[in-house]
Amino acid sequence: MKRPLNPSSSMSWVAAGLACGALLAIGCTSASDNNTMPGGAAANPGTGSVTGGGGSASYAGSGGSGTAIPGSPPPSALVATPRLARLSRQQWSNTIRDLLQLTDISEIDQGVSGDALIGFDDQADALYVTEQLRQQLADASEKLADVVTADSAALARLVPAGAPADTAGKARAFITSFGLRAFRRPLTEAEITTHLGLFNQGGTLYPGVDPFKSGASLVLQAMLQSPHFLYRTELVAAAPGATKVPLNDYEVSAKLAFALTNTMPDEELFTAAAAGQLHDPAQVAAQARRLLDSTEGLSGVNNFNMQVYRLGTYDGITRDTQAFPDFTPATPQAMREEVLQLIDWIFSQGGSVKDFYTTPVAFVNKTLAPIYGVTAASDTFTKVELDPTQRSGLLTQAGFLSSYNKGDDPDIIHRGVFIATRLLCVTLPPPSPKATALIDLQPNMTNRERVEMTTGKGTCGETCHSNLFNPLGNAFENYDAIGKYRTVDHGKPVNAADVYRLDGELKSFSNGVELSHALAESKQLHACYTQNMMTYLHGRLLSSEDQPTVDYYAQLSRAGMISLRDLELAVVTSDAFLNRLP
Amino acid sequence: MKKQDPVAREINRRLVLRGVGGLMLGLPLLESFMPRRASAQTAVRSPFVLIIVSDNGVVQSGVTLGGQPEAERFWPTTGGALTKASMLADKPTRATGELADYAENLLIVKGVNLPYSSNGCSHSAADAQILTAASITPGSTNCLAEGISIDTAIAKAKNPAGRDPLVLHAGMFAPGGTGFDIPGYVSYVTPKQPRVYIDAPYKAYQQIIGVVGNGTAPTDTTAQTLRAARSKSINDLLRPQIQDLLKRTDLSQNDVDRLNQHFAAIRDIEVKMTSTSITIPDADVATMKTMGAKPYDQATREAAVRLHLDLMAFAVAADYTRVAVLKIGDRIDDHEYTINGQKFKFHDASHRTLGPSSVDLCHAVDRLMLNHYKYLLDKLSGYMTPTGALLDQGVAIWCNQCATGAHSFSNVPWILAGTANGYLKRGQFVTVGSGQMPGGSQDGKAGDAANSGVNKMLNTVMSAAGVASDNFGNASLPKGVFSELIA
Repeated sequence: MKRPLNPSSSMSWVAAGLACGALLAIGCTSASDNNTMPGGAAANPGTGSVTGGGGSASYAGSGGSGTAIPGSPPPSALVATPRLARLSRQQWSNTIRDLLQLTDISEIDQGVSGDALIGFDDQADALYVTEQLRQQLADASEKLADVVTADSAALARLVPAGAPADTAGKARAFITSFGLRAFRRPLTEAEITTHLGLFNQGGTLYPGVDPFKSGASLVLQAMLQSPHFLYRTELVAAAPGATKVPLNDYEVSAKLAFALTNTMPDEELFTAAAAGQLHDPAQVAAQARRLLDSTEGLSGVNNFNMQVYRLGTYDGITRDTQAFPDFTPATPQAMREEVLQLIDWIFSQGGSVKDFYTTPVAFVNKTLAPIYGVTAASDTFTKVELDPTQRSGLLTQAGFLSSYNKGDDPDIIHRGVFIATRLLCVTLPPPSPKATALIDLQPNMTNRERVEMTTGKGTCGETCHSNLFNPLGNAFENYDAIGKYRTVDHGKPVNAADVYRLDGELKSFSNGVELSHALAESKQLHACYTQNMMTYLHGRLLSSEDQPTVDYYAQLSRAGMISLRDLELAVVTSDAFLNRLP
Repeated sequence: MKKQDPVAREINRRLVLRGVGGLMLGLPLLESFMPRRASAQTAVRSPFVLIIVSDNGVVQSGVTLGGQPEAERFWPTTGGALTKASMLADKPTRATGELADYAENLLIVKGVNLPYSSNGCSHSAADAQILTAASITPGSTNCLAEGISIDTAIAKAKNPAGRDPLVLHAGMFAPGGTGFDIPGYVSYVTPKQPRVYIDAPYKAYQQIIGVVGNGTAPTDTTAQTLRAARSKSINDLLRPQIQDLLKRTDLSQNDVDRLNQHFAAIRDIEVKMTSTSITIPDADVATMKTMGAKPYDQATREAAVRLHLDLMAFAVAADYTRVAVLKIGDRIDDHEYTINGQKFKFHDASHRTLGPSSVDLCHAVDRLMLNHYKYLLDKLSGYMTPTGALLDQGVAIWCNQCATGAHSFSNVPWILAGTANGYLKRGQFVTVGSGQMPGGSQDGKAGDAANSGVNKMLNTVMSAAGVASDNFGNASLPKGVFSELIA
């Protein structure tokens, strides 16, 4: 497994070996599994242009102080990358659906296990075909072939228009056409011949079945189990003496599609590949823009953000409904959907990472309405503008605020750890063996006071908790255990003010809204998000060679000079994405 | 254990067991063992190994995370021979007393230690070592074992070629995920490659009966033969595809490793001429189906555990596999219990964050876990063979990732039942190594691997399974077995 980028030098005060006090061991939340933060130069927003590997865009600067952002990204440093990237679990499901043009594969899909990954679901080095998975894929391919061949219309959709009427001609046309889509490249003549040989066994291996159906079933099963289907490949031969190898048109189409839409190339991409357009950077950029603007592009964005913000865990949120009558069985799913709708909206509007943490816009339905103190009549999510003094993006949404809670009080520590590790890519040191349990809540004691008495000044947790993450959690004490706004806690006014060292400087804030805005302006947050996005789109852990690129786009993001959409565009049109080492 | 008279066995072909739903159901005698004559040969198969791994430690003497001493509430009072009477006497105060009915079958082992200290999250570090005795990678919640696990080794040696161990999971988190919310992997395919769990009991059930049948002998062997022929034809096309890729000289080692694993996994379907006569009760299959494909609902967690245990016993009885593992919980076990009217999350209680009642609540959970284990022993005892109950023809194990809620890696509990055809002792409470908790804080600190590392336990279990081993786990660990456990 590749090692992540090195810790930022701005964290040297941690590396100085200050004894880490107790990390309250609830949940054993001692360290981040994410890549740590690279350091970054100060950004000086100004007029400049952004050029990726192909497309370009100009951005007007918004002023600022510090070092000017270069007008163009640094040269892409190519690193060794996997030549065979197995489709992720979700990519497999989506591709099966799109390749076979089936609307519901849920029953067959359930028979295929996920992967034992730690990290993004598309990291090629960690995706294997094990004994168990191979058997499950074989079973699934058999069942899928049965579904398709049992339905004349379904099978007909996979046969190209104008195919010959005779079985042999029709078979060749089917193998050629379906094979191109399954393998995401034209089949060689040898491959066509081999599959025809298999097709022709249909009469023997499915006696009594229509010859075309029987042969097609065998071909479908073989192609769905083929390494050329299961892996996205980068196998174009390198020219003698080449220092870099451009991916060929079909390889580009597959890589673009899986990165941006989490599924196979669509017909337009195949057409562009067939026409040899995808070694032209401008054409690549045009296709990338098209995909980003599509429904499938939003689906790809959601898949990424589901993992970054751990939205899949919202299903497990439970609450005492007597203590929280506004929490219903529908609430967890609504919390997740709210986040996805907000991210989709920001993406579609050309928004940036900053908007994640500063917008008072929310998407609320009748399940969530009581939590936000608004009215909603139906289950449909409606865009609303919440009070900007109380709500400011993702960190003031009910899902984040609820997702780590133990019991009836907000979980200051875990909210703080989430922000530090997930949003700022901070690596936390191991917990002290002297970690203690939270002291019992005393009369007239607020939640914050309880946590501070256990982990704050004078305790063994002082150095770690007080500096590394508790302040980040304290900022959100205005929100109860289901994210409802409050100003009183256990009979006393809420204190959400604190100080946190952000970008190497102490930053004060009064509450979660102010902290959210401070985070949105921080180098660390933008570098972390850029790093995560590049890791996901490339399907590999980043190396130190990627650092300059991370720095560059993080600066643009922080300066408000690049939208989420254009950030993705920049990554997938870069040399590093479109080429490989020999 | 008293052996049944063959004639009596012929008459008593069905033993009545209680299914998950409380229904009284009959299980047939294992047909594969049915003698043609009363004095027919003894059928001998490789001993099975079933392992349950629980989380969060147990309540035993030691210290809490806060440094407070705690009294012993787990191990039997007295070492040496175990009797039902002695364990019943312990039952009011010691969790192991819940297993009194099986006193004479048990081998309770104290003193097993994990050899590698935690890098951060002690639960993850423990998970990575408990069945591997391997060193662990840097990283906290994402540390990985740098070796394979015992179930992989036993499956390779004893299962039909290409058949993975059955590795099951009853918890809150699906495969994948990042950071804190991971299932916590104990089974490893290769070094640093965790094996994904089967979470849904129904998926596991389908996988098993897809191989061994579902109690109904195949009537259409032609269909079976044709299916096998199709599989072969398809695989004959697939293998050269991978071999052609492997011939390339420009792939990375990681690419090659992954392709090799894929290639080795390609197997032709075998024609199934018979079916096991054993079945899982229809009511239980129906319950499995209702749990759906993502059985992470806390409300059904305990039912899922029982169904998985049914499947483990079924899988070895039907000879689907010689080894199976069940992980109860995730990286931590955060299951929400209600005990004595108090609703609580297990992990919170294990860290004693719920006030004075924490230790009592954890002790109650220890008893629940051991009753799950007892349920498995009941199941294995219910399968009769010509040489006696299936229980004694293998070893069923319960262990915990940690020793205590304070993440101690010393005195990790291991309880074995079944002698693996006479290889192991029985009816004993044995202490290996020093058996003493080290003083002071032990959170995630490596135990005394020189004398009683978990590698020796794994060597012992593998040897019991018929896979001779004295050096499983990291090569730097002392070789050998726990001779104290061997008959």
